[in-house]
Order: sequence, then C-alpha cells, then structure tokens
Amino acid sequence: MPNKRQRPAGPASKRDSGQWVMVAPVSVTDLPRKPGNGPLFTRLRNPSTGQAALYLFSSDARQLFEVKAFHEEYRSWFIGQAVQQDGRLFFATPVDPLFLVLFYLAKAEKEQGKFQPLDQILVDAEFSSCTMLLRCTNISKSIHHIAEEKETGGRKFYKYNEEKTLKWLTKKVNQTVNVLKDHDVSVGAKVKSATFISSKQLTGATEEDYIRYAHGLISEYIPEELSSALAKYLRLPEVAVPPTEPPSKKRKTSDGPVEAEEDYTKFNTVDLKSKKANKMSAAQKALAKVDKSGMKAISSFFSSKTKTTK
Amino acid sequence: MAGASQPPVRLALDSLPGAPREQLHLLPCVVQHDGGASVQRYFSPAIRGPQEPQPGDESTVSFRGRMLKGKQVLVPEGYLGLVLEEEEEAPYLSPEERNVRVKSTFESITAWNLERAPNGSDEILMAFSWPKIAEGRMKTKVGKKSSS
Amino acid sequence: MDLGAFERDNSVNCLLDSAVPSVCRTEPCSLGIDEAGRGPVLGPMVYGICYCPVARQRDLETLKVADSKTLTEAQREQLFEQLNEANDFVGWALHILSPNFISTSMQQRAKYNLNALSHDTAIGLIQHALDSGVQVAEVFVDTVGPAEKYQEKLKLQFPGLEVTVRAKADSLFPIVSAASICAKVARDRAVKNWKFLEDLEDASSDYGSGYPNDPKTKEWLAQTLDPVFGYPQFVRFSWSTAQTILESKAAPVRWDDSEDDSSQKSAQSLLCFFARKDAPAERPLHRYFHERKLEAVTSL
Repeated sequence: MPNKRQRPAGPASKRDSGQWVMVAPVSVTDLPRKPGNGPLFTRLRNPSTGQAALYLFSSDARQLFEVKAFHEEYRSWFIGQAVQQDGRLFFATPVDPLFLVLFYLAKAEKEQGKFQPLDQILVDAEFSSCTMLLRCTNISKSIHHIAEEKETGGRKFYKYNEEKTLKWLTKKVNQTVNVLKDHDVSVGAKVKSATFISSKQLTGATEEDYIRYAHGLISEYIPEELSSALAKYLRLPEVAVPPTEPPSKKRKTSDGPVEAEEDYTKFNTVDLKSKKANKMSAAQKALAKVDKSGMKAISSFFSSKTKTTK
Repeated sequence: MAGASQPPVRLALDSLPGAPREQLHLLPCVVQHDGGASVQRYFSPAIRGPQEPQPGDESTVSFRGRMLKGKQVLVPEGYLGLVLEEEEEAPYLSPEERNVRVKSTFESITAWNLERAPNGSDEILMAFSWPKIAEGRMKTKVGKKSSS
Repeated sequence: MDLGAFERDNSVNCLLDSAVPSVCRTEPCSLGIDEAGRGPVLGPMVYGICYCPVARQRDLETLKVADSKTLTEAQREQLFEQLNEANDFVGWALHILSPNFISTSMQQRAKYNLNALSHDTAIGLIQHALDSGVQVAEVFVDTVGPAEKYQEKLKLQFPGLEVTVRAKADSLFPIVSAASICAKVARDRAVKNWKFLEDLEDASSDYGSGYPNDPKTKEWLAQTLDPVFGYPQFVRFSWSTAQTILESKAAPVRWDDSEDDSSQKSAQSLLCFFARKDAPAERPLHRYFHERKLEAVTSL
C-alpha cells in the first residue's frame, strides 16, 4: 500500500478531523519518557472474534489497554474554540493481557498440541505487534493460570490447559460480579426510568442474573467456544434466544443444551452430571423451576433492538 | 482493506505538559464542519445555570434556535481527558509509525441533550462508568485470593 | 415603562405590568389584548393588555388612542405617556416573548406553533389581570387567525367573561388600541436597545425594523451570519427567512428529529454498513456495551 498514512476510506471521510477525544488512565501519561518512546496504539486480535481491534500499550509496554468508543449517531464536539464533527468519545481502559495470550495459546493447542515457548506461540504475521504482549508485566506471573509449564535447559515451555483456564475465568466472572454489584449495574431486565433507582431494588436481580451478565462480559474477551464451555462450567441454565439470527456461525442457541465443539465437551458434561444435583445454589434451583418464557421475551427484546439500531 | 497492516500510532508525550486545558461540549447533533468555532462569543455567554457548575448540575443553552439541556460530567478519578491530534510534519519518523500529540486536556465535559438533560439512564452518563468497571474487573479481592 | 427586567436576560420571557388602579378592583372592567412584532424575523414578540372600568371607556376615547399601526413611533410614545398618566383608571400588563423562546418553542421536538403560542400568552395575561384583582367583565381581542375558534377557546377558558375576538379589533375598540400601543412601544424599545448577549465584535447594529423585506434587515442577516452558530439569539431561527440563509450558507447541522432525515438516514446507514464491514460484527456486543453505546474501535 503506497499511502501508509491513509485511514480507511468511507467512514473516515466524516472523521477526517485527524483529532480524537479520549479518556485514558493517568498512568498512560506519567510513565518514564524516553525520547520517541511513548504509548503506542496498535491493532491486535480481539480474542473474542479473532479480528482486528485497537489497543494501547503504555510507554514501557508493561500495561495494556483496550480502546472503545462511545458513539451516538447525532453527536459532535465543541472543543475550546473549535467544532469537531466526529462526536465519538474514546475510552482507553485496562485489560488483562492474558486474554490476548489465551487466544494464541488455545490456537496453538488446536494446531500443534504441544509444549512451546511463548515467543513461538505469540507469532502472528498479520498482527506483528502481538509480540509486545510478552513484555506485559502480568504475563510471566499469570500464564500458569491458563497453561501448563515445563522448563528445559533454562527455557520455559507452555501448553494450553482448559481446566485451569476455566477456573481462572470463573474467578474473573466472580470479580466481575463484585464490580457489577459495587457499581450498581443493572443486570436484570433493562429498565429505562427518568429517576435512576438502584438496579438491585428495581429488578430484584438474582445471583444467577449477575453471573450470567458477568459471563457475558467476560465472553467479550474469549473465543466463542470457550464462552460456551465456561457457561457450562458455571452451570448457567440455558436461555432460549430467538431464531432471528442465521443458524451458522452464530452462538448455538434454540432449545437444546449447548453443544460445544471440539474436546471441550468431554469433561464438562461429566462435570455437569456429577455436580449439578447437589451443588446448585438456591437461586439456581429456584430458576430451574421457573418458567423461562419471560427470559425469552427479554432476550428477544435485546436482540431485536440490536438489529434496529444498526 | 489494508486491515492489520495499518501502522501503529505513537503518542508523543512531550506534547502533554504544554497542552492547554479546554472546555468540551458534547452536542446532541451533527455539525458538519471541522475547524474554528466562536464558542466563546456565541455559545458560552448563552449558557444559563450555575456560574461554576458542579458535577451533576444542569444548564440550559440554545444552539441554532433549539433548546439544549446539559449536565457537567467529570472524567473518572485516575483518568485524564485528552484531545489527540495527528502530527502531520514528522519526516524523521519511520513510515511504519504515525504520530499523535496531545492538543489539549480536559477534566470534565458538558453533555447536552435536546430539551431534556441527561440522566442516569442516558448512554453517555452510563458510558462514563466503564473505566471503573474495566478496572474493578482486574483487581482481585483480598478475601478471595486464598481460594485458588 | 422600564424594560430593565427583560434587558437583564433577554433570552427568556418577561412579564411587566403597571400598578392596578384601585377603581379597577371594584368596578367591572373592559380589557383589550393585542400583540406587536408577530411578523419580524428579529426581536421579541410582545403581548399587551390594557384595562379600565367599563364606565370609563369614554375617557379613554378622549385620549384619542387609535390603531397603533396608523401612528408614528413618536405618537405612540406620547400616547403611552398619556396612558400612564391616566393611571387612576387605566392599567396595563405586557408579556415579552424573547426571540430565543420563539425559536426554541417553534422548533421544539413537539412543535409549538405561533398561533397556539399567541393564544396561550393571551390566556396567561387575562389570568394575570384576574389574579391581580382586576374585575374583568369583558375582553376584546385582536386576532390574525380565525376569530371564531379563538373566541370559543377563550370562552371555554373564561366562562364568566364576555369575550369578543375580532380581526382589526385595534381599530374598533379603544381599549384594544391602548393595548396595541403598549405592546408596540415595548417591542420598539426592546428592538432598538437590544443588548446582544453574544459578542458580535464589529457587526453592525443597523438591523432595521426586523421585517424580512426591510433591506436593512436583509443586509444585516447576510452580514451577521456565523458559519457554525448561525445567528445571535436576537434572530428567530424558526423564520423561513433565517432558515433559508442557514441552509445555504452555514455548516449543516443534523438532529435526530430532523425532518429530511429519511433520505440522509438511509445514506448514513449504508455508509455504516460499509464502515462496519472490516469491524468484527459476527458476535453481537454484550448488552453492557450496547446499552452504553460503546463500540469496538479498529483504528484511530
């Protein structure tokens, strides 16, 4: 490509101000400043979709941030004594780099299925910046959460381990549940009200609602089949999703239990059968008895909304 | 499309100390224009509300003969508002990298809606809680550590 | 008449009134209503009421009040002074509708048209007189719209009053002429001494009468245009005169309820469709992000 500075045509034409409004952690800006060495925005694989997404590395590449944008159609900015047509507001927020490593580990497991050094696992011709993940502080300390480790000749080798991963993800889900509660995030049926009432009081959200919601949030950071495996691991009851989406390539839905692909199913199904009966929480039991048609209505409400706003 | 091969973008931090703090207004409309605007002459003097608005305070203004109601929203604690700008003249840089610099900073914005001030169930106000959720997710609660 | 209250913040409406003559609290009164400044693209619209005891209308006629439009500005000022001197039996009240109020009302999501606005303001002024203790018995109203419907509306609102709505009432009933003079004097003064809350720098203040066909007004509108903000609040943005200039000369502004949206929207969504093509779209975003309009970003 000859013009390297060009942004993609089409949408960029309305955003050609060459200017972005962003909210970023202070820590992004106050790290050691070597000349020419500043935080770096770069594209990496979104571990949930495998497709390109924008991330931000701190100056020393020890911290990773994901970049999202608040984007409403009818928004523009006044910035000081200027107007900017692009009314998006970008947020750079910390993300656990292990999620991105997990994507490559699981891929390597599928393709090679053997122990490998991390620098051989994190190889991606399309996203060369992914080697920067090796420099993130967290990785060496936390890789054992998702992989088995072997050391030979002073070199460390890793192999994806799903059971470890599911345990680690469960912790992530629990942490997320806590955050959702702390911040009063409405996890039940969506209620738009002028006066903002605590979602807990409003919807009587159950533990189950929180877990499902947190699972959904975590699923934004893991491959689809792992998301299904995690749902089973968490013993989340199925929720019917309306058949509006094309059947292929979408999340497995409809009435039957999720049939996760590959070998994920094996220990999960065993796990399910042996533990389900006695380890269900009170809330889960209550839920198992409840008519789930209401849930269906709720979920269809959201998915249809997604459609119309596109 | 050139997808992944887009060059990474380096943020030139040396531009931060000199960057002025500016007032940001998020409008409920698309102004199809990029460039100078006499905000200080036309818009600021028309704002009605508290002299020095505190977070959550509502104000009123009109723009192009339409009534706007707004609310002051603070950038979350531990975060900084940055207006980034493409650095065009940087010939010494490798063509593999683009450069942006900090043009200005902000600590709050005023989010304006048409005729009705933003409230807690408005997307813009809810979006501002995202950094805290993202962060909280990363932290392990002390009590939970022993379980692993 | 002291317009100070309005001039302190001319972006909002203002109610001004004289003291109620004591005789008006005890004797049945006749009340006239008229408006000034309905047509101009600039400045406020003023509603005026004037009242006096039914039995003293003769005295009003001796003041030789006549339709304000047939008088010169100087004559109106003089007659207004005479009305004020007759404060032992004549009272008045004015409601100044700021141009900003007119613009924002007419361009509201739920549109508020000028007739409805007129009617509501008139009703408000009658009520104000009643609330102030004026023994209103009969009401005479000048109207530009259909008189009968308006009369019905007022009768419904004030069943105890004798209501007469008539086109050109200001030339038929002295009490309406008096109201007309009060309104016109206020409107003239407000326009003449308009204090721009905006900083217009070296813009000319020679804006003429404010009527769209006044050459001075036309020239001022052409010269004062700001490409982003359009005009100061002095201009009624809801007037087609202003809208036409804005559409051709100022930066386009689109609102979520813009009328001509259907065409733009489809073009827009087509653009979005192509734009999103390189963005991950296979897995729908979790509702947390969807409800916050937070989307994935692929490039700066």
